Amino acid sequence: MMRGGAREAALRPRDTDARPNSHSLRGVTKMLAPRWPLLTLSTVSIVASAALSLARPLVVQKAIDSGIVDGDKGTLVTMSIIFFALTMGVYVAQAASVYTTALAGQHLLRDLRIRLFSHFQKLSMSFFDGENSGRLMSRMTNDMVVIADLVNNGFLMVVQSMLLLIGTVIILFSLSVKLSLVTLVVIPPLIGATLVFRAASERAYDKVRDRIAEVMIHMQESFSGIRVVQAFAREQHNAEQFNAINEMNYDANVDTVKISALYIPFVEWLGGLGIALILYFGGRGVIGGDVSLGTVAAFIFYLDFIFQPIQRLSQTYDTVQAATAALNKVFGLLNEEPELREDTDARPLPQPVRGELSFEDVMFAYGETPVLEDVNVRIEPGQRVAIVGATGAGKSTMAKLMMRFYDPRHGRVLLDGIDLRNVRTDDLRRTMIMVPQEGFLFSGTIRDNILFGRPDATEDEMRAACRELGVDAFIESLPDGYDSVVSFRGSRLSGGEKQLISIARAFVADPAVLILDEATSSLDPETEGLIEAAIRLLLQGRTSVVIAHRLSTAETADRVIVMEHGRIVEDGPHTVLAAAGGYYAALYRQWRSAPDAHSV
Amino acid sequence: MSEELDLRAGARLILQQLRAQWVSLGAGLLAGLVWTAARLAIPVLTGITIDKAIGNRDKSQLLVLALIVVVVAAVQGLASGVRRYFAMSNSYRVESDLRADLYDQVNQLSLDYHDRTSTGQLMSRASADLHEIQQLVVVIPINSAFLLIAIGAFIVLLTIHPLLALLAMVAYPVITWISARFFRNLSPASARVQQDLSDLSHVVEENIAGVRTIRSFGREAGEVQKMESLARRTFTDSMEAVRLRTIYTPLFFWLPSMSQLVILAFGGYLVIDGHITVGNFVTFFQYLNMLIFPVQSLGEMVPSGQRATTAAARVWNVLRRRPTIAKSEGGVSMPLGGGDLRFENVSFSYQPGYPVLSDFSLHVPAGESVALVGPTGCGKTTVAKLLPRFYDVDSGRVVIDSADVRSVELDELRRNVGLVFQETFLFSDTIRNNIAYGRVDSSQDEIEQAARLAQASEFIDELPDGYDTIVGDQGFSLSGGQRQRLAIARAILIRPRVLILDDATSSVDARMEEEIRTALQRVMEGRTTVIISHRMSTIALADRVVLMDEGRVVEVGTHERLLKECTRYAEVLGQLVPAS
Repeated sequence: MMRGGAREAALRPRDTDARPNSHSLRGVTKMLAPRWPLLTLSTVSIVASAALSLARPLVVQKAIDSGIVDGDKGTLVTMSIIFFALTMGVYVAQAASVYTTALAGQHLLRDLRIRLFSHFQKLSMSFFDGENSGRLMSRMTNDMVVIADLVNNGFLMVVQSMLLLIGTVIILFSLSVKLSLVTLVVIPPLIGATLVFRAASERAYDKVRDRIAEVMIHMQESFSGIRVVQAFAREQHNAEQFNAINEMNYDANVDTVKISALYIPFVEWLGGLGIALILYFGGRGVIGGDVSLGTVAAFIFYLDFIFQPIQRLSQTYDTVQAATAALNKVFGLLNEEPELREDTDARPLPQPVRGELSFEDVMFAYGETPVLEDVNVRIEPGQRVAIVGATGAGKSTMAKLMMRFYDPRHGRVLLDGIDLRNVRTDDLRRTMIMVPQEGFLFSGTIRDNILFGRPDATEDEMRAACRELGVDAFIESLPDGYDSVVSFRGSRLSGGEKQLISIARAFVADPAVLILDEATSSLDPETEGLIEAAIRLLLQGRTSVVIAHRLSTAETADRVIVMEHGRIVEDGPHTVLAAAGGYYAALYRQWRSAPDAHSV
Repeated sequence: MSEELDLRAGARLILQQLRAQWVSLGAGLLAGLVWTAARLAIPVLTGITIDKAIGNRDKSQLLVLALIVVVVAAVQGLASGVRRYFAMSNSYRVESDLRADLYDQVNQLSLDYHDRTSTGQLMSRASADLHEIQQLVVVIPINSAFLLIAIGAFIVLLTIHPLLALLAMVAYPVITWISARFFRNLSPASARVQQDLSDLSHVVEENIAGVRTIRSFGREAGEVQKMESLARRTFTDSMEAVRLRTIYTPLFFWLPSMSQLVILAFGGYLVIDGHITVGNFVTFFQYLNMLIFPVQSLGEMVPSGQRATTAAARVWNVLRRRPTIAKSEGGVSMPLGGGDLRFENVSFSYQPGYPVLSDFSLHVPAGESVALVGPTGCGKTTVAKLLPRFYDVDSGRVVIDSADVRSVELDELRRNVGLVFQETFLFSDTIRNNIAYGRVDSSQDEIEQAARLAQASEFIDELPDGYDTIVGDQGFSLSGGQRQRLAIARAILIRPRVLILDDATSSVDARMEEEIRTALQRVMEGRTTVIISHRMSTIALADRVVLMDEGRVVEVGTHERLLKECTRYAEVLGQLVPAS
């Protein structure tokens, strides 16, 4: 019968790359090696439980032949005692095997999770963009669940089933070669039918997978777009569409039912056929005197030991295949070398940091086409710089190189005259902070979020900072104040409020250099005023680089850097550039004429 | 979840579904009956064969009996197939029917319900909860057969030797009881592991989305620590489930083995003393083997039934609701008109005691455009939501072309109000179907014309598949400005009398706003339009500006006049904040 878990497993996308590769084999071996005592115990208990289980029918056979048929009560008692001992042994061995394999497996899972997640933290930023981020996500979630499936049930079941199957065949042959050959006639059709069934149901489940995905997508969209649905009075029409998809999904499910409704009866019939064959040929053997009655009984009991493992192996096949593919992918990712590495001779930054940033002949490209070329610029300590330019001109890339999210292809980026590649990452992070466009909040309290960059700051320091920035009023107006719980998703805070918190976060961290990506979306004027005031305070007294989307920001900067197609085209104080009659001057004139409508 | 659950209603819902499928349920039960009889017959036949044919050394009887076993096994197989077909297709039928009901219901429920309910919750009703119900329904015919088998086997064994039967079978109810306990204890443990896994994936998601902030603040180590403690918690909770399995699963084999021991020792003794035959002895053994799984499954059904009932109660909580804004029977057609709007002394609140609009009155003559301006929370969006009757007023009237919106047939009303929302929602479908969303039977010409009017035709033509390009979550990703223009095309294709632009330009940057503004200018011509915005350039498109505060109209006039004469207006637009 198809249990819930099996159905779920069948509904997961299938993987073609299901053979363990050298990475994953070596990786798993290395991680499991220190647990060898546990693994030894596990192996011993699995083998013991199979061996003891298999021995029991033999004892019954012996009891029938030498005890019951011969009327020997002494033997019957002896055999009963042995049977009892075996039963207790099986109990202990099974309990031990369940526990030890799961323990080893859970250790592996835990260590793998931590290792993979730590590895994430070192991976280059390109892994986190767009499509790639989905890959990271599924390595850490779906793949781990699939591996957990194997660890929890699959592995033990596979090994036990194989041992039982092999053991049974050996015992049957040792009891009676002739009767074995007759009985095992049912095995080829059983295996054949199982293979055909597997292939057919795989195809059928592929279809179910597609259909249920359609159903889910349609529902998801209708529910999250309910305002549009109702605004355009589409309820009726959508219901018709959904019914069609829903029925197609039902049909696909029934197709899988049909397949198994053909397979299962055949297997049950084969079981009956097996019993009939044993009875007939075994019976003739007993009559002829070359087979004992106990042997016939034992064969009937052993028949289950053949049927069940074969069906179970077929059920766990998916789990094993999926888990192998998942392990391959996980270890494939673990083998990706982090692109940015600290030089082995990285020096501590001389303190205090002055905050001088320079680009020397910098070229950079994400792929083939250069995003930055020939960039040479020196930002003096304490200077307030605005970078201006059209979308795609290279403004954000400049910021990312300053933060060393990437290394330049050519040239150097220096902080206080030291190549960033030679600066210890910890020092660099403590010195420079980037405030991204959208205020990003982590799940936790507002306090956690503000103290994110300096968890050891005191409550007083934090509150003083918030008061200074003018964000305390809004935080205290929340029902739980600083203890209000926020989440990176579905938070009740508005975009502007999130930005305020992220500004406070940077302020508390108090870096020497600050890089700010100005928000593009417009907010209601009140919040916008608050944010502008807070930013002004945040930038005070440190080197700052603002990726400006409004020219009002450029107006108030010490220096404006204008970018076009990855190059710096103009550079100087606002008043000079605005008067010079170049690209910036044109932009500025346009903006002056309609300050609300135009920006860059 | 603090949701109140009516378990009786949940059980009623499941029973109601079962009643609807009584034919196939009955067929499944009938097939189960045949299956039971055949299944029970085989061990008896085995016993007879051993005692009669083998015992009497009768080879021809041996052949006959063996053939009977083959035939009975065929009957058993056939019945098993039929039972399986009906049981499973029946369960999928129930799942699909309930899903269709849920879908329809969710679509009908009014926005006040959707404001309180997340898509995630609704999805989990329609997937996880329905799956629980399906899992219960599928085992009903199967477990009924199992129960019959257990009773039947017990009766057969009783007729052979009552005392031996009692001793042998005493373990089986215990297995059922233990199985029920096991699965009941396992489900909170698995729920904890599930919760851990969802926390884990939350942290990973957060780390991916927030990677810039994390690296910028150099907080990688702190995040790894978070993950370490989560991974440890997952380990501990998983091991709790493992401990349960360690204790219980071997018991499922140990208890039947003890029964076998009883048969071996006591049954063997009875054979030797001639009370029962060797064949009886083998029959006993076979029955005991056969019953292990069924009694276990019966036990499993207890917690599964509880879970399904809870799930059904949650589903019922969605199904039982009535939409607060019903499609009124006997709603009248809209009178002819060009979109003359009147709000007459409208008061409205989302929550009693917190009025959003109080005594709000406004007249917009047909063809005119007004911009609603005011600080956040002043009620401007609410004004827009009352026009298509997303909510009903507490007092006063909303009138379009002399008809109270409550008296008009709801679908028709909504087809006459075109809405462009702040966030454009596109469906994962072609651009054509997205534009034609409100009027499915539109011709290609009409669609293209709407796109042209909304300044969207140029970029659509440049897309790989033009109007057949799939967009939305699953498709080609468009810029905010492009999406917004598709939304405008969608809204004007239905040729609404009234067009509402709710903050349609706020989430895009200024350059995109300009593109959209050009589109807006054209579609507003001669059409009653309500604009909500705090961008001056967008506001300037309207004939008149309505300044709102605390749910009332403060001032009405042209943008230029208000800017000059009304300080509150300048304040709201941020024009009084001195430049730094």
